[in-house]
Amino acid sequence: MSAVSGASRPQSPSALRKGFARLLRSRELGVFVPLLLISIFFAYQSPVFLTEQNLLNLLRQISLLGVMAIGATFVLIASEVDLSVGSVYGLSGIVTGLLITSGVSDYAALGAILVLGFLIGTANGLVTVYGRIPSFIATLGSLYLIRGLTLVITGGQPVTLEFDANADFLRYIAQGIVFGKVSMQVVILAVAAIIGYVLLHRSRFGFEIFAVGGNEKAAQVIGIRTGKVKILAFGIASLTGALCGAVNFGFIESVQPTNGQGLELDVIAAVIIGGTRLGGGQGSILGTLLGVLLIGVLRNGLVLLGVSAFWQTATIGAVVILAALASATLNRKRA
Amino acid sequence: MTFLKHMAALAAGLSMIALAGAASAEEFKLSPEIAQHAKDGKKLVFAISYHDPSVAFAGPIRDGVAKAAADLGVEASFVGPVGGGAEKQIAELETIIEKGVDGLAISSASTDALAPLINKTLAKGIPVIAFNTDNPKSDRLTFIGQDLVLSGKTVGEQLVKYMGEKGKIVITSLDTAAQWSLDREKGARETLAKYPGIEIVNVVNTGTESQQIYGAIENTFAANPDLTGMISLECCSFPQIGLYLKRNPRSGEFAAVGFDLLPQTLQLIKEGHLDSTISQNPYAQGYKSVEVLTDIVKNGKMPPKMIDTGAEIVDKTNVDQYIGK
Repeated sequence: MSAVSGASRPQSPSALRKGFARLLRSRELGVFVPLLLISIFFAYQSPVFLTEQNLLNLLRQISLLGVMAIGATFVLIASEVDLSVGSVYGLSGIVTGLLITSGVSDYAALGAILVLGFLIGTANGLVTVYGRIPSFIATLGSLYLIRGLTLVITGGQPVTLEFDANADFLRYIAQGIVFGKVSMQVVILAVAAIIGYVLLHRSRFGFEIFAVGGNEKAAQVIGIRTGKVKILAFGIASLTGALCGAVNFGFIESVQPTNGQGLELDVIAAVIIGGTRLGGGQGSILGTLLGVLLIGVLRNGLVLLGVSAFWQTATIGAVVILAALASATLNRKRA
Repeated sequence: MTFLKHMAALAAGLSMIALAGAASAEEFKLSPEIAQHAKDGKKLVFAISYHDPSVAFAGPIRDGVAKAAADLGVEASFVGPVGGGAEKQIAELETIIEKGVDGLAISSASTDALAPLINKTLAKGIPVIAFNTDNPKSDRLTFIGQDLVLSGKTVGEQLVKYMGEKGKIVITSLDTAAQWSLDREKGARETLAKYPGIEIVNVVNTGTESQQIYGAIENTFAANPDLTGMISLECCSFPQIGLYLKRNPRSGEFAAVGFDLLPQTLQLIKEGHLDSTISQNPYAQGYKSVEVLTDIVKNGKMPPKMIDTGAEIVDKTNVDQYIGK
């Protein structure tokens, strides 16, 4: 982020050198370089990759993953993990659908689901902090619990948004287009990124998150209520899962109770590729966005090149490992 | 060397166990306990194990099982590993067998993994049939379901009907490596091979998450703007093809054909964004599974090697009778 803002000022040779040095030192470099190389490769191989329509598609395709990854960044920097976000995403789509099909307005359904999402996250945090059990276990439990409840509620059947359902607002935020071509989902990502950036990098709460993740005992010594900080981080992560589940329902207009299974792994992978330390204390919103973009570019580019389905899966896995290695190596050198 | 010898002995032992379990349908003998249950008029207990009961497709199967159990006066539980997984399915079946069961119908999560269990169960005199997804590596007494290769051929014929004998197409599947997907793809390719003017540009693995599926479809259209048709091999990427076409209407003729009767698929056929879908009659698969097991145990009647539940074609002309069913 700092390298970008530095580049916008008038540059003297020494300022340029400083800016370049800052870029080389930045945690995001580890993901930026692979992203750039892969993008150049796809642009060279496919004439479609850099077309305006494809880039707009790509941005929309990564939007919801991006929003959830921003939420997960808070939890991971606080040295915790949330495995339940995929289940929250699944439950949210189903509950939103059921509420709307039973006649509740889409505004009220969205409001209810956001509150529910935040409460689930808070519960995850309470169990982790006051139950003193690792968040890996607590959220693994809620992953199964929430998914099971979703199946119970639906009896395993999909929920479909009727074509004449009164859900104009939900359809607008999920399917709407602004500036003639940009999906509303991209706008949601942009808003989430700004809020996430301000909260994490420009607020007292963000400072506390980094302090708790870096050294919890030291954070307690300087008077930070570490439990409260962590609970709030879990709340934010689940809130983003709930928001995205509802928006996805508005976009696809039908949702299976199994939707979002395994999504938590994509979310965590994007955050880690983006340079957030799994042990907490380090990370950034920009890095997370680049991590999400890397996953999105790979999925998009491999289909454009007509790579066989089996090779697509293997290639994504290999690139994820290489990107994580590049990020880890650069960060070790930096340290 | 000793280690290798041990491993070789273990492998030989395991294969002996598997072979010992094998028994053909003709050789199958009902266990004396189960025969006694039937003779005493006790309520027979069956388990119908589906490879993932959490998917939408399982709903009508469950309904068919429940209806048959009520009609025939037997107890039939619909079980299976939520989210799939051969190990989980095997563990659950082992528990059910241990508890006592008069017959099993299994849709295998993995042919290789389930075959030894099926054979061992048959060797104990417990009847086992396959439904929905066949397990040809085992000695299951019958298979109730759709001939997947044949259904693939049918979907190929549907594509030609709507697209004509020339064009560029893509095949989508949410799991291109799964046996059912490979079988349907094989059938579709066999039909399309008769038409040299049709080119299959790619087979796209969409994944199972809805955003990913839609994204994969969007990317496929971006990469191949001159596509004239698309075949979906399953329930869940098909409606999303329709949704894409609804939002991005094609200028020329475009054919989209696929499988199963999800409500969204039916609505999109009604609106003209999808052309036709093939149902594999899941309700009948559930009903017949219980019926065949009852026949084997109560009446000693062995089923034929395969019971085809057919491939109903649903298009704009008959879609209304399926909507809301």
